[in-house]
Amino acid sequence: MSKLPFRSLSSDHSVSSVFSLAISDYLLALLMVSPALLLVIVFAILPMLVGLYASFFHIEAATLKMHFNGITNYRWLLKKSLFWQSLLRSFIWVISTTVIQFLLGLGISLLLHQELKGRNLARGMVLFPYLVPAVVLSLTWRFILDPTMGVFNRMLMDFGLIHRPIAFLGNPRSALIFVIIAGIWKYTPFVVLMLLARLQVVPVELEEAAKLDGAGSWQIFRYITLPWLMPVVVVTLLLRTIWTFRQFDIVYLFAFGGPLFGTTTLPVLIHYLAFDAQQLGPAAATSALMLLLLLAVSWGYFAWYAQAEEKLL
Amino acid sequence: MKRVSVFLSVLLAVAMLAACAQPTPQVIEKVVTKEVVHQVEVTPTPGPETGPRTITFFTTEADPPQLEILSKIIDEYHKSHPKVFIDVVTGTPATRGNRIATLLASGADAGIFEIEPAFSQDWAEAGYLLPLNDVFQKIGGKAEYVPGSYFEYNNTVYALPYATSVYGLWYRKDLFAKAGLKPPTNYDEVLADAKALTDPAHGIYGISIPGSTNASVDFFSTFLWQQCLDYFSPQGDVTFDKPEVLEAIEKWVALTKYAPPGFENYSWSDQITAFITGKAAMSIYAGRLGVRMMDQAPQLQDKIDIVRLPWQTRPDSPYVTFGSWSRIAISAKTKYPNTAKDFLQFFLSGDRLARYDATVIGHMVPPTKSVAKLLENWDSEYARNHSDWLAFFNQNAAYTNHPANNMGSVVGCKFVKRDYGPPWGSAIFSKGGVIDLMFQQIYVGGKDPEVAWKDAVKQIKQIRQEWLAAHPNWKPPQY
Repeated sequence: MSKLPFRSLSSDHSVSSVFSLAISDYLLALLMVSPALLLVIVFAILPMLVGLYASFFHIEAATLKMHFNGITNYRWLLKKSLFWQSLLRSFIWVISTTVIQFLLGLGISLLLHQELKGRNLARGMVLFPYLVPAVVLSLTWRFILDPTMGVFNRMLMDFGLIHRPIAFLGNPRSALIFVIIAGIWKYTPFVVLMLLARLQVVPVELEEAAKLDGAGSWQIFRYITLPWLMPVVVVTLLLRTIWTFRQFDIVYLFAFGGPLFGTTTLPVLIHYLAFDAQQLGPAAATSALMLLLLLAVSWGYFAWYAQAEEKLL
Repeated sequence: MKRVSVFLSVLLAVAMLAACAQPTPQVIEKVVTKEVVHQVEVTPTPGPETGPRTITFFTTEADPPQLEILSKIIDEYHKSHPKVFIDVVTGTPATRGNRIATLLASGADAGIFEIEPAFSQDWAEAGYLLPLNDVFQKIGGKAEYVPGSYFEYNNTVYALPYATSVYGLWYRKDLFAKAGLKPPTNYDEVLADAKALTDPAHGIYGISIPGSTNASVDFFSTFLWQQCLDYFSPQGDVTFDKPEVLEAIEKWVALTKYAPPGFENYSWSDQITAFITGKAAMSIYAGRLGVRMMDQAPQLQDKIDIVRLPWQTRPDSPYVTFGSWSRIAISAKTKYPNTAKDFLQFFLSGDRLARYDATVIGHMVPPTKSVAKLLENWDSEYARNHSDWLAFFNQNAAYTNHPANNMGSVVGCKFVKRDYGPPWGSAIFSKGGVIDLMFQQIYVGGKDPEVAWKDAVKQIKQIRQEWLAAHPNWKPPQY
């Protein structure tokens, strides 16, 4: 096993050498990560395992008495159309927001990478939506879209586009669309931030060499910039996918999961089952299924990331 | 290594996710037989109550003025009891039940806390709650308290109330007078008035009704009860399948024709907003509407008034409105039961409770006669200008009811308060529950009321059946 450099430097001193002999790299590394590891175990791994364990029980909400019921919660859940609809809605929410955020983020970051007047100001301003708290965002949008008092309806009526106010959040389809729009608006700056940071370190000499060889803008982007961006793109997409999949605040605060469960994604369903319907077992089962799903998706991204890194090297 | 680190960060993220994972003027004596898996030891183990003592006080009344008054009351108590420290812990009504249940079930000292109404009986049976008969008597007993306001089980008082909200029908006096109308006294008049006052060209609608998945059930239930109907019998049999229920649903839906656009997504708060911004001529709500009006639209204060919910369609309709008593209990496992009881008595009596309830005057309706009198003559602009509203809320506090806390509350056209909710009720009466969803299907999905009602009945029966299957030893309460 390899040893840390300080061991050889201190090898002349008997106490140090005894100490260094006793602590291998592996042990030292373990000691150094142990505080963080402990926190992860206590606040993440343990609750996750408890959640998995709870998914095999019927739990009395008032007294938390648990009765083992095997896979009944899972069977119950898989029979419910609400679960499948929520899963589908989660996919729609995740795929649409992540893809559009990425495309917009890529475009904006490429634009902000150019030598333009006011670039620094624009770079600062583009982050603004990311700084707005989700609760403020949701309440503001609710107010904007309100059919009796909201400015959006008023504006559409003033332009003669509609003749009477429309309850955009009163329709399951349009409610989900507006939740998606709000999600895109809020989190595109994150993509911009990530990609712009990577663009700063694209080797200029590669681009210049390509230009000398007669490559056009598209070819430079396709064969130099994009491959260079790929590892960051994968990480960004991975993070956005995970975060969006488990996003609760914006989705819930927009329409509380309604109307007609039209904005109920899996996290909102978990909240509904656990805190409103008081069905803790099925709520835990939903969490467990969501965990499996996220692990599978993450593994796919992980393979893609490795591939992107290899190509770059 | 990179693979491992990426995978670990993924695992961390997903792991974090997985972690997330009443009252009536008549109180009926009852004997309830219910499944109890195992009894928790009831006897508290009091520590020495002489040295420094810290007791937690869990509340969901977390508005700054409420917390400020609570802090002052605690300071006053601390001055006369310098060794007693009360730690205030705040939460939300949505998670209150689960948080307290976790503490109680783990045997921790939950101190003094707001009780979850739907869990009251289970907690009393499980021995989680400290008997409070002595505190109840010291405050004034039955002669002082509004009937049904306190939680009593097997002749033991386990939770004492500090407030309830009382729903009524708010209406615009000026709009009614302009249209030559009088305040409605029955359903037909409400419907006719709502129709007459709806004027979309001027952005005014007859009645503001919330239809989102977190509101319908509370409002519709008042209508159902006043038609001599209910969701279940006192023994837990489904009564929502009676044909008259469909008639009630249709009548309720007919009112919504005169509600502002977007009402189907209104929460209780949105429908208040519609009323105080002049978009609706009538609104169903409790005292908070008056408080918000004073704060945000004081120009309306001489133009609005409140009457009882006039849903009667038959002469023998009982008067029932919506509201749930907010009550405080003490953990049976508390280290300092006598100190906790002493503080509770201090807090719930004298002008302390009056000051606390005055933080949302008219909305926090007091449970005792003496505090009610104090508030009717309170030194505030609201009380000076609207003591009649305060008297209205006090007079009607005994008629508040909640479908999740009172199974079979209307029997033979009589309103009876029992404090025992259907144990399977959460999925029916909660936010997004069967009843809310039924109305959403009608309002948003355009479903025929009869089809939506039949679906709801089917679901209610299924939920009840599933619960009974999981609790084969449960026996219906016997009254």
